[in-house]
Amino acid sequence: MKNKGYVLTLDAAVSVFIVLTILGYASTLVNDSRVTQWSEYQMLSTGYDITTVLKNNGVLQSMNDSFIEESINSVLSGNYELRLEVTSYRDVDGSLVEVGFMDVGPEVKESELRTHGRSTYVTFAGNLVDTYNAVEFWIWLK
Amino acid sequence: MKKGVVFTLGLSLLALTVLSLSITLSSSRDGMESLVYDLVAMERVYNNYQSAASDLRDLVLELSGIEVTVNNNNVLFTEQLPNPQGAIFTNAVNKYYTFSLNNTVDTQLSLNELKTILPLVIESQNVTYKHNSFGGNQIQVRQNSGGVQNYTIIIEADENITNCTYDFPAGNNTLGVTLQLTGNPGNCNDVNYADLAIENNIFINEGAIEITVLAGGDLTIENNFADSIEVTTRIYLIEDYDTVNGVYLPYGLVESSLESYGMVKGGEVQVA
Repeated sequence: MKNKGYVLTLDAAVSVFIVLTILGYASTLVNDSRVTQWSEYQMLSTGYDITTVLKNNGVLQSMNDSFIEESINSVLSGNYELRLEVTSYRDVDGSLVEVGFMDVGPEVKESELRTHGRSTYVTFAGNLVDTYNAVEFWIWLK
Repeated sequence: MKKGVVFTLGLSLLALTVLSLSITLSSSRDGMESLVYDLVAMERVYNNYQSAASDLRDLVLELSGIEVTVNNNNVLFTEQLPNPQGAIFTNAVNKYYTFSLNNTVDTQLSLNELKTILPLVIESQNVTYKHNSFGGNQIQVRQNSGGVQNYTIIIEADENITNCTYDFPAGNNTLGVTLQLTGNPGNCNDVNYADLAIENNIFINEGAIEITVLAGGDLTIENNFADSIEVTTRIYLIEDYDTVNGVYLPYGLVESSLESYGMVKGGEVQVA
């Protein structure tokens, strides 16, 4: 009778161990963090959308960093942070020369969920090109 | 004892069910992961393309000196001939090409045609308004599928207009050509119909301004005066409003690609 009790207990322990092992493995499969890829797409899309809005509204063309930052904050979702860098070039005596650099937003955070994109725009002065501008943005989850 | 076996088997079956569901979910995520990678790549390619296309549109609208208006069944192009913005535009396009080469590695530009003849395409009729050489003395309209029913050419010239000669031989005269020329002093106002089988001409001041409707219906306007004249070319289209999509830069000026994904985005850039 006493032996039967041991066998029963051992059997229960082994089955619980097997079940927990299976459930644990299943849990790792379910909680796989590949969902971050989807977040990258959303962040990239947000970054491009914001850059496009800033260009289309003439905000980037103002080259006013505080105005640009204010505009970014007014459209950027609260759980994101965005850094923008604009490098400006001008035609000086037939050559393109870097004439300005502007950065807006916090320093880029080393985060797993971070992405990066580029854009360009041109500003005009009368019937001439004033500057050719290269935009880089980094966007990440807070 | 029996109860214990049933309990163990039941629990194991439940766990195996959970495991199989998890494996199914995980493998479906593999598919989604690949899809999301593609979406990220497409987003980059699309935005790189849009950025360059928007810049080229801005360059044309701000610097070309050509005003484009799209109406219900006609499109107007107004510019000085020769266009004083020709050299400025060409230089700006050259600089933009260099700028793009240095800053947007995934965007390929093919701007030779844009800077030399500045073609503007009316879609969907596929009628092209262009120049023999942008900044030169000739405007050309090329219709590839007979989409034009009438040209109205409005010219303002600070010149003494002494004579206008119309050479529209009789035949199957179907293509309307209206001229409204205001000189200083003198003017010419007339409506003629061109036979598309042969060449038709208007000569102003013995060819100082020459308007030619070529066989097939293509149009050429040439200014041989020393000074610029203002030319408005109104092109009436055969198709109705629903099919006039707008005015575009030709296909192939901008391409954005991600070679590792085998993705390429090209298209026409709409300017009006």
